[in-house]
Amino acid sequence: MTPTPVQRRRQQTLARWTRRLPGYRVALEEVLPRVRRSATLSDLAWRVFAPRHGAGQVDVPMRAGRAVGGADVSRLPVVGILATGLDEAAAELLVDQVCTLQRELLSFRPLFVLDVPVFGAARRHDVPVELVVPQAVFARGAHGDPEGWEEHVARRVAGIVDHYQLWHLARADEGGLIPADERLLRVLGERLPRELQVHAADEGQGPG
Amino acid sequence: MIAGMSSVLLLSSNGAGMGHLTRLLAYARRMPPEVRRHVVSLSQAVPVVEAEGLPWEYLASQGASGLRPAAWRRLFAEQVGEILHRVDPDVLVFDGTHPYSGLDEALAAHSRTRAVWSRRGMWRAGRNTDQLEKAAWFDAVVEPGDLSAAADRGATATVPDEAVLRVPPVTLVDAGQAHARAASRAALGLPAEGTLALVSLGAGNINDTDDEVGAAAAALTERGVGVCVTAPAIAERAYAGDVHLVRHFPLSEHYRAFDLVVAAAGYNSFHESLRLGVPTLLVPNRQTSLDDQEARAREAARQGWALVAPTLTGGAAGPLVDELLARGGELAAAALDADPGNGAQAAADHILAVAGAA
Repeated sequence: MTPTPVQRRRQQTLARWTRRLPGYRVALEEVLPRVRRSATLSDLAWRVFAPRHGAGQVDVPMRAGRAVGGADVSRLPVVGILATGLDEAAAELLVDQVCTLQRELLSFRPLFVLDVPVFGAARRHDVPVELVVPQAVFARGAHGDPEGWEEHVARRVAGIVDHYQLWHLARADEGGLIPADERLLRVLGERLPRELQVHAADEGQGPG
Repeated sequence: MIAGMSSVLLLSSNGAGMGHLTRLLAYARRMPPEVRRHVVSLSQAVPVVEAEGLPWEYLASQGASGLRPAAWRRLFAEQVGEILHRVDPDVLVFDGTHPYSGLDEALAAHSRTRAVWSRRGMWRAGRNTDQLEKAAWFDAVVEPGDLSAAADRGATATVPDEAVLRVPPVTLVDAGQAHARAASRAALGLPAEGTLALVSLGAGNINDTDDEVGAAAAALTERGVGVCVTAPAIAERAYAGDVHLVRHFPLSEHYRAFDLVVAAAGYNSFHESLRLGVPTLLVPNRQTSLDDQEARAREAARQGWALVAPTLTGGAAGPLVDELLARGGELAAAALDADPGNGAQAAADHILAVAGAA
């Protein structure tokens, strides 16, 4: 759930207070990296704390879209949908198709990575869009080295995968999601915890 | 960077409306054509930059992404860093009232690039004061002025003159660049004859007189004034009256199509209406977190530049429209007399001077 402004201010205050604690820097910069690098200590931490992992276990804040609702939508895996070179109509159709699939499966949240600004379609479904520069535009040279488009996309996508904590990066073309990725999304639901509270947005509360 | 050419990266925050982006374009238009200009925006309105012939990129804002603020800041810093590395500008100009954490890291990692903060004033008293410290991230601060600056009680008003370059109010279009009435009406697809008012009060219900947009539309229609709106959703819902949808960027080029403006008192619409000499009725938006629209509007009323009302509902709209039709010309003339001219050129020159130090 998104914190309220009051909760957010409290979080910020607590974070500032924690960062000022004596020993915070030592713990962050020396102790934690040593624990992470030590196979024995890492294994011990896993045995003691048994952190949940896997699809649907971890809360990842990101817009869920209008298609789904419920208390646990923020635990639905985030799936990137990467498509470049589509025209505007095909890109809008892709957004519509994927959001329809999301509504059918109730098993993921889409994040579109496109090179066409189909913001209207994205707002209609309330899903996030990240843009990369179109290859043809990049080749004109105003965005840096005209030969550097693939590196630009790679860097952008790498950051997106990291910071949105993508469970998977699916590919799409003029025909929509590529078949292998659509199949993968169709089996993803089997991996989600059964207790997840997610439902189609215009339906009442029910099992996911 | 290509040798001999300045290169400027214009970065706008998302904000409400298009003020930040429009201000940056005002600077960009006033730079020599050989200057390489590159626009990056968190606003989903950024594709309008295409019409300016400038390269542009979009970065999702924290609100658009839904990410946790801390996660978004790291992503933003990386994305700005990638752009700085690729475009290698001499200067980055950030227009916004809240430089995002992460921008400092990106700039520090690309130390060749100078940085300018374009920061309008008229902040609500006591708000956002902690942001002023972020001036340290930048080589220079430019403050686009406000016709109502005498009423500014916000934090930026206390910054000494030696710490900021204050320029006159900035608008994209100068009075001399606005098209004539007939050409503007033709360009916007509006009737050549008759009185028309632009109603720009944000989203609203045009059929409901308990709503600001609806109250304005009803009062104008009753007096035979056609209503022009910029939001398709408002125009589509209109089931009565003479309502026209106008879509053009920048609309201010065609402000002479309108005989009246009924608008909120945001920086851009306020200065565009007054600078372009259109009789204006201001309904300040009281919900803004930082922009003190009430103070801006009150000062305009005190100076006799525009009419101001806290609301148009409850029967208030009719007498105000009557007064605007009767006295609008006099108010608009007073505003034109008070206008010190467009500060965009001075700001652009200063930005290029900072770029020259890179």
